Amino acid sequence: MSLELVMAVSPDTASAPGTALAWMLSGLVLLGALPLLSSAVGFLLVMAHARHTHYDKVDAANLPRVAVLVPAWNEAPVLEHSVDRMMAMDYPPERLRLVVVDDASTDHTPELLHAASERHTGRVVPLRREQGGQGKAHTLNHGLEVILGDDWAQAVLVTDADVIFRPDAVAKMTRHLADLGVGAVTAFVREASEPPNWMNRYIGFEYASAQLAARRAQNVVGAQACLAGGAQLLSRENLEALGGRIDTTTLAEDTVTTLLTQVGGRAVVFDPSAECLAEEPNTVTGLWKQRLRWSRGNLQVTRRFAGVFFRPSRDHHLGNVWFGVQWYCTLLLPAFMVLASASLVTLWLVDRSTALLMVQAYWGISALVFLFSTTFALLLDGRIARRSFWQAVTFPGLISLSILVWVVAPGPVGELVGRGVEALGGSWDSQTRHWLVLGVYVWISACMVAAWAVYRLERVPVLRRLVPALTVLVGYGPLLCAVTFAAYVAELRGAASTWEKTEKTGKVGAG
Amino acid sequence: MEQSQTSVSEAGPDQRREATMLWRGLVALVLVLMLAYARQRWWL
Repeated sequence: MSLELVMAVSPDTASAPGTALAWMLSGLVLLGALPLLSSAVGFLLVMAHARHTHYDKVDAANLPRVAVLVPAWNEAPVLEHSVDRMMAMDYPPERLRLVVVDDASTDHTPELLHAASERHTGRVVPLRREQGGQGKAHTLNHGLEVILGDDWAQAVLVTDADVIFRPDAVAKMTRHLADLGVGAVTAFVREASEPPNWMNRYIGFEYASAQLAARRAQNVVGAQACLAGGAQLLSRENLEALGGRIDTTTLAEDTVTTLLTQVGGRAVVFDPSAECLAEEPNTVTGLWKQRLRWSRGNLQVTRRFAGVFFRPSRDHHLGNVWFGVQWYCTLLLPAFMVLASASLVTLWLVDRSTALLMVQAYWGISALVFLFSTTFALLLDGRIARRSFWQAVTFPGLISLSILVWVVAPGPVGELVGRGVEALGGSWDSQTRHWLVLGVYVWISACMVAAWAVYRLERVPVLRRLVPALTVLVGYGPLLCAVTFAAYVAELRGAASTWEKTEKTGKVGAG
Repeated sequence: MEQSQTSVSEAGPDQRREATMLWRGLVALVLVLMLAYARQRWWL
């Protein structure tokens, strides 16, 4: 940071730097940066995936009898296509069976399912629950009861009705089960809406970070946080050890399955080359609904499994320190942001020059981590890089990006902003600079409020058209943090845990 | 489960792709170091 800038923005610094309070507040700001540092460590671990993979223990000839279990509630727009694609899978036909559980659909799902079972006689098994709407886990359990009722299935692939697997995906997943220590395998779920809108592109890039990077890092430490809900291959042994059913007590049944599998001493593996395509939300409202369910589910799961984190075990690696830090950082990200922001504002009141140093440190770490993780994530998948490049760049939002640029080049940016303010007729005096710098402190947490406002704005018909531009301004990242914050509120209020399905329209392309 | 008699793995291409994770990360790291250097050298 330039000394001139410190002097310029804090000419009236009263208290001496280095006081105990200033040190404590500075420590809290740096603690607020922990999620950024933990995420950077995750990306460093991805580099170790060059050596630490499960591929040396796979057997491509391992082709167990797989029952593909699909819960279906009003899936008419997508069902026919996904069933036919699954039946055309590059997998021995006599070893692949599709069990579709119609969860009391009110659309044409039953008729389409009946037609599919006639087209693929003996390979598509239609089941129906007359009273549905209890959620995915209940629907899955209805199917599992039938599947595990005889000894045909050696593995079960839990998926969603809209998910399209690439022809080689199932075989790429089952090869890992040749290692009897593996209880579950998950694949990469690619956002593949055609044509993709701006929200689909943001989600597409997010999945490069949250799946292609994060799950590789988790492979390296030997602990997986979550099987992708639409791609969960479970060995029969594992399913039976889990009691032959999926947990119904939380909104994150896939996460519970993942953690229970590992607590039981069976490994969970992510295969980035096994790929399936899915249609994800295309509006802020759709995203909010989906992620609120996920975040609330994660809070519920954390309460249940709090005892496994940070505790070494002979059976699993869930106690890995980085894994635990990353788990809680993801869960508590909004709290960390509020902590950093509040500490900076307090520090500003106590010792402005130290406050400026710390805000530069916080945003400096952000800039370095953003550049590292974004570049690395884009390098992980060329198709995502082409499809979502601008969404990757604007992921934190243009406001945060401007702050990042200011931190990297405070002198030139300060000069530029000063000229801009003066050109607009304003005065670039120390008072203006104080307010601007204070705004930078507050934005760390205020961005969540702004993101929430964007979400609410989408409900107003005349203003809805502004939402894409405002999301670019405020950021997709802050939007995710705001949803997590909303999940805290929902859990604290004890809101009903209703299962709200993400709407699918069948616009998944060939990817 | 149906097992092959020999433990032949066809994971070669996938394994080779994963071997590139190291340089992909290094490229990203070099960019970060360049930014940090530029920050120190020109804008401190």
